[in-house]
Amino acid sequence: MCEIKGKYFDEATFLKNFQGMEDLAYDMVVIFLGSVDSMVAEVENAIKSNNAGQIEISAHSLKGSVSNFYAQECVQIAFKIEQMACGKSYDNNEMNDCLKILKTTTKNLKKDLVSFQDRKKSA
Amino acid sequence: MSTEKNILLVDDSDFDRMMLSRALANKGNYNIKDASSGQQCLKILNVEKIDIILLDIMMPDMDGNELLVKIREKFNPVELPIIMITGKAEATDVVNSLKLGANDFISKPVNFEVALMRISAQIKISDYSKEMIKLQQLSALHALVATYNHELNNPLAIAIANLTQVGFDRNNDEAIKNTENALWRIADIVKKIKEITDGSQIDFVDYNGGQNMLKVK
Repeated sequence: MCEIKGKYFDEATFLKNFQGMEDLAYDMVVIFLGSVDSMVAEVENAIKSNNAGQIEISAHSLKGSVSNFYAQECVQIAFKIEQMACGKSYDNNEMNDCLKILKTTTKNLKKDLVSFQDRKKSA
Repeated sequence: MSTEKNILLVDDSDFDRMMLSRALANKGNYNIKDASSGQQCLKILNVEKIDIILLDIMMPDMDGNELLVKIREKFNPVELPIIMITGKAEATDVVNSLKLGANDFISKPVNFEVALMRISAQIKISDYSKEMIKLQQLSALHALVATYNHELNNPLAIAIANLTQVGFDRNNDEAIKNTENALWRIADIVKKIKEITDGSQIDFVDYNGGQNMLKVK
């Protein structure tokens, strides 16, 4: 199976934005890795509660945070969930499918970020 | 006196707020304050001098546009520039915020260099506009002083003329009364000029149906 490196984390663009602030970039990765699971959990809980308003807010918030890593796959799926919830009525099965994709993409993003973290630590 | 400008960053996302505030503090000569909600933002504005606000549009409870409207009830775009930060970069959302009184907007993910340039530009515009207003007030002050100076001549002329007459006829009560009134008018004008030159605060007030006049405190 061929893995596409950097598909979930655009390291080059991320680092360009933090030029001259590499320590801050590293700190942000560490902080994000510590909080991403709870952000995804918020989306999941909102979906389980069938609370459209809360789904929209939590998905929007997650989208904003992952966008800082130029993680397009995560951004797109979070945006899709946000849009579905914004419409107030949505298909539950479709929403749960989106949640599965969200969990997969954020898991892959985390892998890329941990790899970045490890490389910086050993540098 | 510190020349650092105070930026207030309003975003319900702890992560986004932390990242942007640290990046701005690192790259620019700014003092960063932050708020996680509209209510917190309004509390800060009541007690602190803020030079510019970066305001997230989508927040729970009070969203960015609602907060924008509330802030604009108290501060106009020159007094307090506001840059909206939005993950919703659709044209209608941007136009809506600008119509409600935002000065500019930045899309998420925030490019720090772009953000810094826009913050700097808005602060400069605000500072220059405030200087222009001061210059206009100064110009009005000058006109006022010139007017009072001119006004002094009238009662002064009356006083002198009547004094001359009194000098010939000490029983001329009317002349004495006119002289007295003229001298009091002069004294009052001199007092007002002194207040102005003492640097008292000048305010524009709406007098008698919309006419702008200067109120000397």
